[in-house]
Amino acid sequence: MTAPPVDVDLGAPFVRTRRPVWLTPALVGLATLVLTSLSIRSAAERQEPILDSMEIQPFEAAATLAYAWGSTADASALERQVLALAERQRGAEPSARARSSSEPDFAALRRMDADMAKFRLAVLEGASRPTFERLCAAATIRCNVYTLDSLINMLEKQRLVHAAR
Amino acid sequence: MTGKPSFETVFKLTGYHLGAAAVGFMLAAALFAPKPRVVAPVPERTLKVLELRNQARAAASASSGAAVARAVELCKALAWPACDEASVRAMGTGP
Repeated sequence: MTAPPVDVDLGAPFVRTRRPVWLTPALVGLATLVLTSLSIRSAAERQEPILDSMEIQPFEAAATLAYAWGSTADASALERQVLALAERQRGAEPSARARSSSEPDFAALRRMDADMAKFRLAVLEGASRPTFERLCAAATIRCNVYTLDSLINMLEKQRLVHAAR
Repeated sequence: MTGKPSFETVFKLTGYHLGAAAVGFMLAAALFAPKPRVVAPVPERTLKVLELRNQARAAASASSGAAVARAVELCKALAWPACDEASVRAMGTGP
């Protein structure tokens, strides 16, 4: 028993063309390939800075505690680790235009992490005033000659181990 | 050549196009899938600092007990300058 033929109403006469039957499926497949690869690349580019920031988090938590309460050697080592991870370059950073306005700028946040790590290292090493001024001039964080002293004071106060001893 | 397409023709053509889209999708996923991230292992000492952080946080909210003792023990193992109970509790109240 066979099914009755189905009548497809096209609204216009069906015209068989001479183009090969594989042409439109091939074009569809190619278009899907291109669109999917572009969307994969775009998603990977947007995720990269987020994953980089997530990777820094445990080191930053450890460095914050070590800076406040730890030995100078531990604090320096952890701040250097944070600095190395924060300054790591992984290809091109996504441009501000490519990034959605609702997403935080993780690349800028990492640069701020790097700035703070540099300042903390300078405090730990007892750096001279010109060193702090040089760091301040190159910093992403808000720093100028008027706020530099308060920034240094704040960082020195965060080293609580001096007060506890 | 004109005429009405049979159901089989429409079915086959739709199948070819959907199949081609699926192949394109699979190829893109196979060729352009992001590589797994290579994350360096966290050093042993950093893990101890992180454990101290957790224990100090627990100690800050406890009057006495295992958390305080463990935090003091970890602090001494790290040879940090201030490892008394008061300092360890203060560690747990920080950022």
